[in-house]
Amino acid sequence: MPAEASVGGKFVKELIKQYLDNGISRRKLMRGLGAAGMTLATAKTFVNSFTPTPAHAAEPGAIHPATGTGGMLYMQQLRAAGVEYVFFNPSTGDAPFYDAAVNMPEIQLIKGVQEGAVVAMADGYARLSGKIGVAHVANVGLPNAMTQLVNSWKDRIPVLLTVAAFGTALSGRDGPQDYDHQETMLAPITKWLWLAENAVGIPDVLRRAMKFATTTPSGPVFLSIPDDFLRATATAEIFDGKLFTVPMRIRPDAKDIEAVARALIEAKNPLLSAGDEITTAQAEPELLELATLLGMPVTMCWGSALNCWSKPFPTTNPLFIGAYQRQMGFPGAVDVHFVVGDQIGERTYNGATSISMRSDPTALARAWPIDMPIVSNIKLGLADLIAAVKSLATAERLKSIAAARSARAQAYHAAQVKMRQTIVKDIGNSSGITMERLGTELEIGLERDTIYVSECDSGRNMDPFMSFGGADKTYISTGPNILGWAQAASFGAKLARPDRPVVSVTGDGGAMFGGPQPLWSQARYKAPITNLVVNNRSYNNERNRIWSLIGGEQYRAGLDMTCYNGSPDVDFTKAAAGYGVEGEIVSEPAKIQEALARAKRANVEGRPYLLDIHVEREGIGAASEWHPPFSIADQRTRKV
Amino acid sequence: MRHLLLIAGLTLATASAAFAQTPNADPFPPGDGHDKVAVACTQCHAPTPIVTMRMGEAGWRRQVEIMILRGAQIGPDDIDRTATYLATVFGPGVPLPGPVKEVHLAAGSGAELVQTHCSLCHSLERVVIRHRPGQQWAAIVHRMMQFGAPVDGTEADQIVAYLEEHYAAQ
Ligand code: HEC
Ligand code: HEC
Ligand SMILES: Cc1ncc(C[n+]2csc(CCOP(=O)(O)OP(=O)(O)O)c2C)c(N)n1
Ligand SMILES: [Mg+2]
Repeated sequence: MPAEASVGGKFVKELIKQYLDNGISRRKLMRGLGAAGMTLATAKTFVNSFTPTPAHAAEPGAIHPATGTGGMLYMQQLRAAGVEYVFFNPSTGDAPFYDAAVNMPEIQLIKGVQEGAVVAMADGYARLSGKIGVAHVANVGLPNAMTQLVNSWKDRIPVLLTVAAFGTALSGRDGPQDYDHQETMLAPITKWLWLAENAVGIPDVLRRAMKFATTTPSGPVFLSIPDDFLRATATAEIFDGKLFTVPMRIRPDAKDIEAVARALIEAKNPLLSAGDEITTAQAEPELLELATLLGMPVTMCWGSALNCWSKPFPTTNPLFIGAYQRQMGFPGAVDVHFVVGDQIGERTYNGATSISMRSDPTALARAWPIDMPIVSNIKLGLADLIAAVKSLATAERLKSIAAARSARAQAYHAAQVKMRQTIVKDIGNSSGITMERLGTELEIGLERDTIYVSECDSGRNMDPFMSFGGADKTYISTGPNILGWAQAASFGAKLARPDRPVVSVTGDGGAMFGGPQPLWSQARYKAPITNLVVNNRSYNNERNRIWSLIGGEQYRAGLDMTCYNGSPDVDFTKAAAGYGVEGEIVSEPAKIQEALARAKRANVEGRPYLLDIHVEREGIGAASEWHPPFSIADQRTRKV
Repeated sequence: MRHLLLIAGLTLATASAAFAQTPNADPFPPGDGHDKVAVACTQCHAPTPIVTMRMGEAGWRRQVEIMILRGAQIGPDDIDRTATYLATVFGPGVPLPGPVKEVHLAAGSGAELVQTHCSLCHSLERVVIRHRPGQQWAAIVHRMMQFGAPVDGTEADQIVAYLEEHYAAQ
């Protein structure tokens, strides 16, 4: 083959340019390459490497050529997909990405100062915007990012994580920082991962990555791009986002839906359990309509929130009866248990027929056998179900069914409300701040439309005192509760929804796993967020579980080997101040409202704020402040 | 978090027939409130933390309240009965399973109070196994009163003074 005709040769380059500019057809291009001496097979492979064949059917302008560095092509492809924010932390090899950003005002770079925070910011953004969260981190910092990516993975959040890998000429030679097959570390926690093969293919591989991330069931994906490809110049096609947006408007089979409708109408004592796929599908209105239409009591995850990351059903609705359990005093002997979009796995209820509607077919009926499994887009499936119910029974009949069922649920709901009032009264004269008191105060002090971003373990005990869902606060957490997420995720939430009040809620433990690094981004980008650190100076609930549920040796010995955090007694306001975020300590119940008002004022003025709220420890061993008295200073024989 | 998952695992596992443990061994003694506790208190964890705890009525009431916030299905009409039941079958003076090690308290004023009142819900060994900083003794004794330790304010002061004198960490 003459040099001119080789890949990268002048003649071939010219041909490709004409082709990509839509000057010549694919056939003409192939003929040209043949004339230049390429075999048909080589020409085909070559052309395919920068031509995704089916995309050519797309409307004009949906695919356009671009020439630039791999980094530039990458950014252009993100832009064409409608990406507005890239969360990042840089390293040298990434330079072409960031060089490309210099002249790309459509994409705002958002810096995080630790990779875990970078990913959690992207994750929070994705949860609240419904769009993909894009994160670039240094390849050496990838393991930092992975911890938080597990939250995205378990909760099916679309996050694209990219690194610039070592260049192809160097990798595999055991250089400093290099280890073999880094990308494979991500295999168990991503939907898809890839190592880019060349510069020209970057937009196409990115297209595939985003397609995998965003197609239901969505989830994180990982892309590793050797840095020489990022620096190399290539001409490639850029794809409009709509060319790889897969609608997944999957409707269930009409016969199946009719069977479910019949089961729900005829059930003597049905129960509905609501899960996170409802939130993802934005099917809250349909859920509410169906539950109301049939008067079905609704549960969400047990332990208030654990294992679920959202609350798709309004907690103040009289049909809401609290945490799911496999056997419940109310509603008692359930005959039909309808589980909707429960990502954690189907819940079984003793003795009940189980129906599960999921948008994720691989996960459906995985945790437990299911009598009636249904694959469906949750929003469409619920809409179909509502229609089927209405077609199978007269409005009159439905009304009477709903009235009978909901009367019992309402009575139960009312009793729970009364119960919580009793509990608050019981702890009323406590001089310190209890979780119940804090929950009650937050319910009063936070705006009704607050986005409440929580990873606070003890917080499970205050959540029941607040209203979530519907027109009330939006509750966002993580199913696996991998800590170090909330302060960063709240940043992503605020970016996605700048016109809603946003609070982050962490324990002192959580705040030290993830903080104070996210506060740096909050201060840098003036993110008006109220950060609450629920500080009991302990891994409080971890201690409860360690001391009581398993083993018990530490309880018997009177030694809290692991959980006491109060020495040193961290002042989270000082840590925040160091990062440019104002704050204050709150230690008296009567002062909570004033402090919340000051936080709100700072937020109104465009500044983040932090409240270090000193709360009482609760549960077994709560009074214990003992911790292993080990001192390195005492180990010395020389005072150096 | 491993532990948490374990609890979640238990929740799920108990739903499976395969998990069915010796169903005849009911860890909860008979009494008014038994049936409620046997179901409502075994949904998320094994009975172990309950049957190995000893508290008075106020202490149990608080524990039950915390569990209600977690999701335990005890209604307003049942809470008193449940607390009373637990305080009866797992209250002060009800022996704990396993051998009790004999403990000789340091001689001094207040030792007798500790001996009689502080061994009702757990061993004396549990009380003095560790020397503690002064402040902590007051907090612990105050907490024991909330759990239902039958001591009044004066006795509590004496107990704290005794423990601070003889079992204080440097
Ligand atoms: C909805 C789930 C759930 C139910 C139902 C439940 N518990 Fe618990 N329980 C927990 C969790 C979770 C813990 C571990 C502590 C933590 O994480 O705060 C715990 C811990 C405990 C402990 C150990 C002490 C402590 O505070 O850690 C006791 C005692 C206890 N539970 C008693 C009960 C009783 C009595 C009932 C019935 C009224 C009950 N539990 C019902 C979830 C539950
Ligand atoms: C009514 C029951 C009851 C009585 C009486 C009682 N305790 Fe306790 N005690 C408990 C319970 C329950 C725990 C475990 C829960 C905890 O540690 O908070 C405990 C734990 C303790 C611990 C271990 C705490 C730690 O952090 O390791 C000490 C020390 C203790 N008690 C001291 C006392 C003293 C001193 C008295 C006498 C004034 C007393 N107890 C009387 C119920 C009781
Ligand atoms: C990254 C990570 N490491 C460890 C854990 C295990 N873990 C679960 S809860 C917890 C302690 C949390 O303490 P804090 O945030 O103060 O909550 P509290 O129980 O005191 O409310 C730990 C260490 C985890 N969930 N995530
Ligand atoms: Mg804590």
